[in-house]
Amino acid sequence: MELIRSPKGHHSLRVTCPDGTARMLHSLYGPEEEATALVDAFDPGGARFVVVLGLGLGFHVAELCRRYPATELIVIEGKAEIRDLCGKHGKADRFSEKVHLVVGSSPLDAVSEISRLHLRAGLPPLAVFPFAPEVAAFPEYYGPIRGALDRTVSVRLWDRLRYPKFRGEALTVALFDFGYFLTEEIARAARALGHSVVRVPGEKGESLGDMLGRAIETIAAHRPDFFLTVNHLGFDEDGVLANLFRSIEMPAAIWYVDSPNVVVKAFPRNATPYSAVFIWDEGYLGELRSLGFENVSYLPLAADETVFRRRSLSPQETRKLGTAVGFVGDSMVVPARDHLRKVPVELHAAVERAAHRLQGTRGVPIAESVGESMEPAEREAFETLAEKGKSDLEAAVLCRATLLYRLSCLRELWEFNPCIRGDDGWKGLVSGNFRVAPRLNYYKELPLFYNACRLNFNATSVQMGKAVNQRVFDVPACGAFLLTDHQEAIEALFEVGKEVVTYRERGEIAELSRYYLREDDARKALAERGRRRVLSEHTYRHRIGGIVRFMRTVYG
Amino acid sequence: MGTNDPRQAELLEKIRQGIDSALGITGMIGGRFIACSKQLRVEPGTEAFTLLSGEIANLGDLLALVQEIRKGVGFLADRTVTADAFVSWEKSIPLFREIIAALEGKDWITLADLMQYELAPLLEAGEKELAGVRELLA
Repeated sequence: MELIRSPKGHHSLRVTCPDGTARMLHSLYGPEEEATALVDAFDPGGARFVVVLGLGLGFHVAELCRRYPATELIVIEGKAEIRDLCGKHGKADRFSEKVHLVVGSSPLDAVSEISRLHLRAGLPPLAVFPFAPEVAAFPEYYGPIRGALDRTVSVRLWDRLRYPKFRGEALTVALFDFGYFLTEEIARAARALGHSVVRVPGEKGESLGDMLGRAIETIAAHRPDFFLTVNHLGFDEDGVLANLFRSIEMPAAIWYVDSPNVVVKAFPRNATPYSAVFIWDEGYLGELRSLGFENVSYLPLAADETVFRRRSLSPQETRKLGTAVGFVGDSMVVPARDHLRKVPVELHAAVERAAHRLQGTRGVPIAESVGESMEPAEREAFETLAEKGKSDLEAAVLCRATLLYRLSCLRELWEFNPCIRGDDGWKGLVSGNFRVAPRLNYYKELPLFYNACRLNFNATSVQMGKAVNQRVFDVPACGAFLLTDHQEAIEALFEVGKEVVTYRERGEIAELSRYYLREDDARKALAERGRRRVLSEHTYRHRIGGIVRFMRTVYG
Repeated sequence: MGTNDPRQAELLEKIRQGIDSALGITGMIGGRFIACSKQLRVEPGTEAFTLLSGEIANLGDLLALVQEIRKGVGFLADRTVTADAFVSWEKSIPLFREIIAALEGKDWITLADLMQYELAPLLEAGEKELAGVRELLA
């Protein structure tokens, strides 16, 4: 490669091609006029995303920047040496911030990078500007890239992926499937409502390209009316998929059934008008809207009535599972310990104080509880933590507070010999009258256990400010009796005292348990009313039906 | 210019006809080389090569014709037209070789530069020279 300077002071590059010939990349007489002619001959056809094949000394790129200031210019250059010479002797100083250089990548990687950038930009119409002398000089490099891009342009993918939706009664729903427990329930419910479900499989930790590829294939092959996911699974931190969906006007329903804090704070680029967020706890509505999500709705959990239903137990099942009072839940010993390990030792005492403070209250924001539990020196140390460190500390507080809260509630039940179904952490927390037995399979064993307990006890995780958890729907769905803590949301979901029974103070637990264990008829009648309520209003069919109605109204 | 020698008169007439022919095509060839060079810069594809091959053949014919004219002028008894009347055409012969070399090396930009910035002006100058010669031989 040789930098040539003409008597008139113009620079050009002479490159040696793979076939041994030496060729000039720019005119030695009028490189700028040449660039003007090249750009004159280029018709972007309205494209706002132009891939330039070959950088040379950048005369043509500078002219493209001047002529199309709003256009993204992705410049592919196979040789780092050319990029360096362009920076030193060429027109790189005239490039705008819209120029993105891809240098030294293999043709395959260059195409992947172009695809990534194209998707990030929302798949706008794409045009190719081949810098003819360089493309002709290095056909082995630029040929495959050009071929791949020509196919993209000719297919006009962005047009194929955009189509009218919500035309018929029966819809096609693309469901991200990461093996999360709710996925099966959602799929079953959507099918029961007469809709088609297309699963888009995914795995945590897989590349964005793989996920996007499957999403695009699904759209092209099945033309879904909308995408549905749980806890934002399938979406990426950079908002590439959300951007694609916005670009092709593909709506996505995102149902949060866990705290969205960690995810949505890291995903601000996912807040687009085509993302409809449904949240199981009303307490997060304001926070999500403040993050830029326009369509945010409250959508509580529900039960799958085909799994959680009244069952006649065999004598063997009754012997194995039967008990007066049963509790299903995690002790939180392990997650509390794991999160605490990530917290600096000088803040451990503050975590303990905040957890004690939090376990006795509901609806107090975690940040407030943490802040008020700290000594000045601890607050100072806390403020020095990075965002990740702060969220680790908050998670440690939440887990520890849940542990303390559940333990204090369960101690009120000691006289009934309660059976705890959960993790081994319970063994170190309770003894004597308490029986700790292994976890149960959610789909096969848990419905039997709920049926086998005369009284199913529930204590909600501290992380849930207002919402109710899964057990509040699953237990009544079985026609079983539920005694649960009085979360604010339960008042709108059940008739408290007639369909479910709640305790507002821990001191009420023993007395309520005693009464309902004694009064068989009252207990059974109440459980039956709870079952009817779930079947008439709180199954996944009702929830998915609600999502579909919302999506049709807003995006149809 | 006039002569009583019938053979000189015939030669003179043929030279005049040759010059008229050359003047008729030189400008056109120059213009087409410029078009060809623009095409080569933008897209050195089949269309540009076809156009270029045709023009190179035409240029070869033109140079051969000018050579013949030059030789003929050398046989004229009247020495009004001097040898330096064809200086631009002399320069075009090595340039023509450079063009062929660039074409063989597929060095499209050099080829375009040679045609646009060297050959076309040279043809323009050569055309003026021929017109001057034609005037002297009128």
